[in-house]
Amino acid sequence: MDKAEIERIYTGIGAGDKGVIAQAITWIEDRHDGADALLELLYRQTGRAHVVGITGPPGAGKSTLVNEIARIWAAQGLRVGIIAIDPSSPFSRGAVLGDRVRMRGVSGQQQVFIRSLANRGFLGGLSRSTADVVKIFDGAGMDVVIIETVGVGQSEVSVCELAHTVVVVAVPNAGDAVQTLKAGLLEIADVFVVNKRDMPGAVNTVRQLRQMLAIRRSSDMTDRPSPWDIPLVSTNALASEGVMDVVRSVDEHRHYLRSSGLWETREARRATNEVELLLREDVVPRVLERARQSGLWDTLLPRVIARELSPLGMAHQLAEIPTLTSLNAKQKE
Amino acid sequence: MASHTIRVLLCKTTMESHDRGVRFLATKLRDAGMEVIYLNFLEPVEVVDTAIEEDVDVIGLSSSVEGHLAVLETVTRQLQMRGHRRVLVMVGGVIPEEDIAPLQAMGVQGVFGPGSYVSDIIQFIHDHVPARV
Repeated sequence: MDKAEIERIYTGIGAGDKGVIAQAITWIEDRHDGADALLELLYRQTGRAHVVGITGPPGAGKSTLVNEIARIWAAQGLRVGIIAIDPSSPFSRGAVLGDRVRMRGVSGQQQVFIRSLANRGFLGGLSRSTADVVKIFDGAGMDVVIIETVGVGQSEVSVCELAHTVVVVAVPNAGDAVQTLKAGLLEIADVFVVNKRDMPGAVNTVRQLRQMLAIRRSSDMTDRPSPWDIPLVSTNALASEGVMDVVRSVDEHRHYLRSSGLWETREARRATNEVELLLREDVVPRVLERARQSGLWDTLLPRVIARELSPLGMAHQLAEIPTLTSLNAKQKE
Repeated sequence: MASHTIRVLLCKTTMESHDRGVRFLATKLRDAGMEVIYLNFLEPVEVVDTAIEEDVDVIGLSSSVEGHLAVLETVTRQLQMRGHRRVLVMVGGVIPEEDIAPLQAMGVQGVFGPGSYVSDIIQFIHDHVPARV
């Protein structure tokens, strides 16, 4: 890969050049040859942005809310990167990315950058490249990076592995109080939003969620010095009602993380998750590729079939993990 | 390992309600494995802003009530001014025969009037989008 080209992209990102930032994201999406080297350069410049996840079921009003929130931050002079994820087709791998339809209010503003991503079969509400796109925005000097997940169900909670602050958007009439006791989506919220508060049933939904939070609080209090009291905000995002309270809650959560030392805890969690993911998604395929190319795969596999070597033993040999390999050798002796 | 998925920006260029065609095309391009950034309606400058941020390979504009010459004039000029000549610009909808030549002169490569086949549009995109990886 052309070193000068990587340098040009790196410099352009730092300068906030929209065309270059867009190209860098495409590099990451395409797994372009220069992407890894670019991220190596860029990673040291990251770690400044507040990463905010917005999640909730399809049609809850996430995109509309993102538009309103970003508009407020932009008006405060902040630079905002938005990653809007929609699902890819399991059949054709194509996608229709429609989140931007609701974001015309901020689209085109100088200090706002919106990028639509297809999840490309990645489960959990994000796309494979989301973490790296966050780095591009972070490295470009964005103050806030908003990740809008795919419309999720009860258990797509990956956004909490990537965001400092998770906003869960619920809608009225999505079930009774028992739903609020369940594990999953409702557990990961740092801020709750009940959108479409003008709809009948909204008052009930707010009450049920408040009860759930009260129950959780009473069992939580004991072992935490300064617990975060999860705010619940009701909004009508389409009419810009209540959105300022959401922004205030998210800002307060950032202050809370910073002042309590939990920011570092979340950073550690983010880093851990990312390294673990890379071990699975990047290292394992490389180990396989190397074994197939070197011929080691073809040498060892017949031994597994002949019961001279266990599948685990072969896997450990391929990954050069010594314990089982030496154990096997000892047994042979 | 590296591979590129074709990304297409689709929208109408005037604020009107004839969006059945462009929505139909959006699902068909999706079924053809492309990623479609779909917007109802955009001003010409917004088209270019969006195309740059989304780094699309194709801009497909739908026009059913006239005005396409002025819109495409702005879009193609802005793309050139801002150094994004690489993107493939197409227009579809109700485009009179006599507009085709002026559109092509502006740099609009694909013009798909009434009676066009989706399969032709997909083929056209595959033929005209340069390889990126």
